[in-house]
Amino acid sequence: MNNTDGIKKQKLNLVFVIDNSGSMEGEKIGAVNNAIRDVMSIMPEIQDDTSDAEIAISALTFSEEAKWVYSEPKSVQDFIWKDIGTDGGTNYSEAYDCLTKFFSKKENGGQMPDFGGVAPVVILMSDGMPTSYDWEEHLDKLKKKGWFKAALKYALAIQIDTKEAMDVLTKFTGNSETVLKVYTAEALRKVIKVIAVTTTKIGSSGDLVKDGNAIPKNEMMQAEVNKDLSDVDDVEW
Amino acid sequence: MYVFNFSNIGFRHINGRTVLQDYSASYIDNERTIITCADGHGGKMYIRSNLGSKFASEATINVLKRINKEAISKKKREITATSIRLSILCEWNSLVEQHLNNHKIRKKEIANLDDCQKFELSKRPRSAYGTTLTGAMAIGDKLIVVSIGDSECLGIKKGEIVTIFNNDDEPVGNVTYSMCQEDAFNHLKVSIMNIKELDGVLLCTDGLSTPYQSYDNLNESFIKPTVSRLKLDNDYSKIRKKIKSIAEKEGTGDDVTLSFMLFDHLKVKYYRRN
Repeated sequence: MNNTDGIKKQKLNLVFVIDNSGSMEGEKIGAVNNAIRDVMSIMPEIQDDTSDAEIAISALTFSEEAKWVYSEPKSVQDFIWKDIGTDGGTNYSEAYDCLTKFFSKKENGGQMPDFGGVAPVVILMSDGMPTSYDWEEHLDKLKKKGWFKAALKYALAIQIDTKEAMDVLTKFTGNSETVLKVYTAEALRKVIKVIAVTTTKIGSSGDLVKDGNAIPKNEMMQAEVNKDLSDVDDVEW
Repeated sequence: MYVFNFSNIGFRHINGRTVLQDYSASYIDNERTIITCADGHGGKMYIRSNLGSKFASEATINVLKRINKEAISKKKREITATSIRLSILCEWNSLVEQHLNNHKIRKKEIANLDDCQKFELSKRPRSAYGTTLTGAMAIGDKLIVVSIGDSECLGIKKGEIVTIFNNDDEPVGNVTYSMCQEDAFNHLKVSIMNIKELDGVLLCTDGLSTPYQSYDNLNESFIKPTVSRLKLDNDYSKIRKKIKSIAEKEGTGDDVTLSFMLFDHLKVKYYRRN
């Protein structure tokens, strides 16, 4: 037995869930692509600053169907963002099914560790209403997953103004305070950066498992994100 | 049969000048072999969790010692399983009550708690003793396994891990079921099986499992080397040394506990690493 044989750092999963339906065409998807590239450019620095956890990044796109950009979460070094295009409807049901599988334990075919773990961070970006009629049933299944419950969830409402569409996103995060209305490309870029960077910094610091409670850490992250967002124009929450 | 139990304080507790909160024990007589492993909660409010884990272990041994072969015959299994769950909880609560009566919670013990935590503890003082529990007893050709919380009960068979309790819908991250919660009965699980279904059973706290992250990795990197080496040289000191190293250097800094019993029919050829 080697001294550290098989012993690994805890993973902090950062998951981007991106609506790339037809209505996102043009400036909106362009802003998403730029924002993720921007975030990725500073992630190596964030990873260097944390010794407790390894940041693992995943991206799920959904339009007519949902697809993972990579089949497995990638390290900061290995996650290379290639711009995505747009097409078709907004199939939330399939996206939620992919997330339900993702938030299962490895033993059961998912990406969450069988033992221990750090609360994941999920950022959903969308500009409209679901085109799949049964999305709420699929969301209910997702909400039963322990790791989804524990995750820090944000939703970015891209140029959305109807209450109905906002409600869809609020049902995803479970909290209206973590649904942000974003009106410009620049604001979207800044918001994604603030959420991704702040949450991964706090999420990967100390107190990895057990002993205490997950909720205070999520509250702390939310307070920090809100503080950092106060300087960003064209954002409402 | 190979029987082992060992607990080692983790580096976070050493640095924080707290005590070892895990507890493990083994008991052997002519009829039975019992092992236990419990992880006292580390949150601020659980000021006596080191005792909670000890009481959980004692309660389990006391209750399992009273079970005879007849009680686990096929007909009586269900009733026996329910009775074990109830008896362990009653025994643990009684040990806690007794301790609380003789040792009231002192101001000094709760000096670092905020007002909410103090209030919570004054309402439910037994929370101070919060702990997980796992235990196993081999009796005749049967095995009884009990578990509440996020400590692991792992069966091994022909070089593979066999999960005894499905835990996909259990709480995750830093939340766990506990002996101290009011509905603990709903979460304390008991399984009764034939010994031949397994080569052995291992109980461990999350201080051991978490650094390995997955069942596959834990099996390949820790269980197989431990089992094959033990069968080869019969030297338990190497296992204690490895656990000490995980607790004090390599792991997450949490206390580390491992208890196991390996049955005589285990064949070492299955436990060589891939």
